[in-house]
Amino acid sequence: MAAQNYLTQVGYKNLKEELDNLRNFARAEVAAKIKNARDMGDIEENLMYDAALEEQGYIEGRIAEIEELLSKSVVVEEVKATDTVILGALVVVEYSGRKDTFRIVGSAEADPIKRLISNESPVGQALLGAKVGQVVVVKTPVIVVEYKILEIK
Amino acid sequence: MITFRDYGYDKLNVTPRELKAIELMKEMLKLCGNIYEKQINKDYVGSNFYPHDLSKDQILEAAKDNPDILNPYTIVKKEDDLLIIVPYSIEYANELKQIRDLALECTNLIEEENLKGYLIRLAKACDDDSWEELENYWLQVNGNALDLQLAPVEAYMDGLLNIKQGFQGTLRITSDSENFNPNKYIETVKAIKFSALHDEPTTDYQIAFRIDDIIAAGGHSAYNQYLGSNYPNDPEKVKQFGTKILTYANNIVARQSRTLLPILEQVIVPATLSKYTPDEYFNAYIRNLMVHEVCEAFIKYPNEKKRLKELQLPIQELHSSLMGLKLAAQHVLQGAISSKDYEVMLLTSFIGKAFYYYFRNQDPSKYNASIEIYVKGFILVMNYMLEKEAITIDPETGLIEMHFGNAFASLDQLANDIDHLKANGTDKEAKALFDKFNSTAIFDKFKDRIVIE
Repeated sequence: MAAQNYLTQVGYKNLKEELDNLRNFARAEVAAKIKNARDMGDIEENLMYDAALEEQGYIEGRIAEIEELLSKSVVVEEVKATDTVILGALVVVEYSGRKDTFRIVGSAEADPIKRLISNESPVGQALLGAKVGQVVVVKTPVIVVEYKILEIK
Repeated sequence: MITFRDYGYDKLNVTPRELKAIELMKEMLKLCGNIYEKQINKDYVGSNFYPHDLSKDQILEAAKDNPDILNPYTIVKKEDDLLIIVPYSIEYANELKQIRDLALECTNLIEEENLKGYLIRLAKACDDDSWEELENYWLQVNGNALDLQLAPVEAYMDGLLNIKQGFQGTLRITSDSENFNPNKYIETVKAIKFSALHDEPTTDYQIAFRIDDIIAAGGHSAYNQYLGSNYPNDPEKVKQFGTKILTYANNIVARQSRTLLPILEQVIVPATLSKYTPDEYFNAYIRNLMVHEVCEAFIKYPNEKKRLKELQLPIQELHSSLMGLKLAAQHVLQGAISSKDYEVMLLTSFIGKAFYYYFRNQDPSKYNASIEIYVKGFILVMNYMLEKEAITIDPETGLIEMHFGNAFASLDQLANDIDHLKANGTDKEAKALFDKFNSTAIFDKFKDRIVIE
């Protein structure tokens, strides 16, 4: 059975906005590009036409992907004051003498660069359910690191 | 000794005038190689930058009265017991005047403003040693597909004081290799800024990232065939101008297929090696390179050179590799890469490269002082891993068995120790650490198996 997908309220809103934008604007824009390229004549050797078709493929693929995500995901409640790490919580941790702050999100929203860490990542799995002050061991087949939870926002 | 390489690059999509300029720039790089040949001396730790009969202490003592002795762009000579300081523009006037004339000729052929501006400043530096000004300009320009760097840049050849800059140069063009996705690595570069890897060094500066194919190389770059590099080295200058990371796609592709897997096959038990696909090895190789360069560019501490002296470069290179692996471990924990990705990074960055560099420098015809900087660190790491049982020798095959859990724990600890040394340590502390882990026995076990092309 596939793992349940979760979305935070922010993640849901962002995906919904992206979907609306793709349906209402991007589709029309790319259709116009295809028409313009066709109007230029021979489509066999027309690089603009090929590029527009490729873009259309991406847009339709992304629309289908987001629609599926939204239909199958559980949207979690907005995080209120809590002393336990839950999905959507902003967590301040300390490991190897360093501090780090990130938000635990569903895998569809995860973006480590923006400090959005998936609930399915080793850190996400280990931290969910832990309390402030607790030391949690994050384990992978190779790496073992202790995280101390300093604060949950 | 090879001091010029023409890569025979045949994918150039440039104008006939630019093509003519490229041929002229190749000539400039040949001349750069001629200067480098004059600078390099394998038999003396300070190459040909200082009189060979003077000790380091004598040079430093003399520099108290004459600070130009320590200028990175001068040669120190002895005439009738007097020390004479000769600027590069005079010492290498024969080659530099030719480079200047060729650079000016190129400016009539090149339309693109950034490269044109570089050539004008290069011509000036050949006359008046304004190499700093040239580098500052180069650090600030971006976006040009065709790019030249030709200058005295790295102090790798000055093993005595780590000050005098050796001539090097590369003529490059933005790579269209499908194996490289610049965005992926730019994201990795950005990730480090958010990962709180270290609190102290400033990381809030501009970063420019180029993935290039080399068209031709001269001087140290032709001799050493870098895979990646970052500039500038001076932390204060990084704050002012940001940092520029260069990666050399065609060198990377050639190096990994020629050296990486053939070496690993000679030293690692087959059961471990067969766990990973060729693509995973290649991606790990590139990922290692990227995180190494990123860590080197970002993590710079005050007074490193002053405290660590001639051990600053070995510590810097080792530090960048270890911190790169530490960054990769964080990526595993945060779900950005898999444990398997991490394992193969560890195999390629430490085992594969350690054996390649060690045995390359065992061959007197291939010996390179700048490679020795890396070898020092790799010998330390291999002995450290042996002590912590991160690697053991399989009694049946005589090959290395990896224990990745121990390897992570020990290298993570070593990364912290080396980071402490780089941030606060002295050359005495660094020397004590290198001396403690200096046995070459683990390498010597494999001396009959490994042949470096």
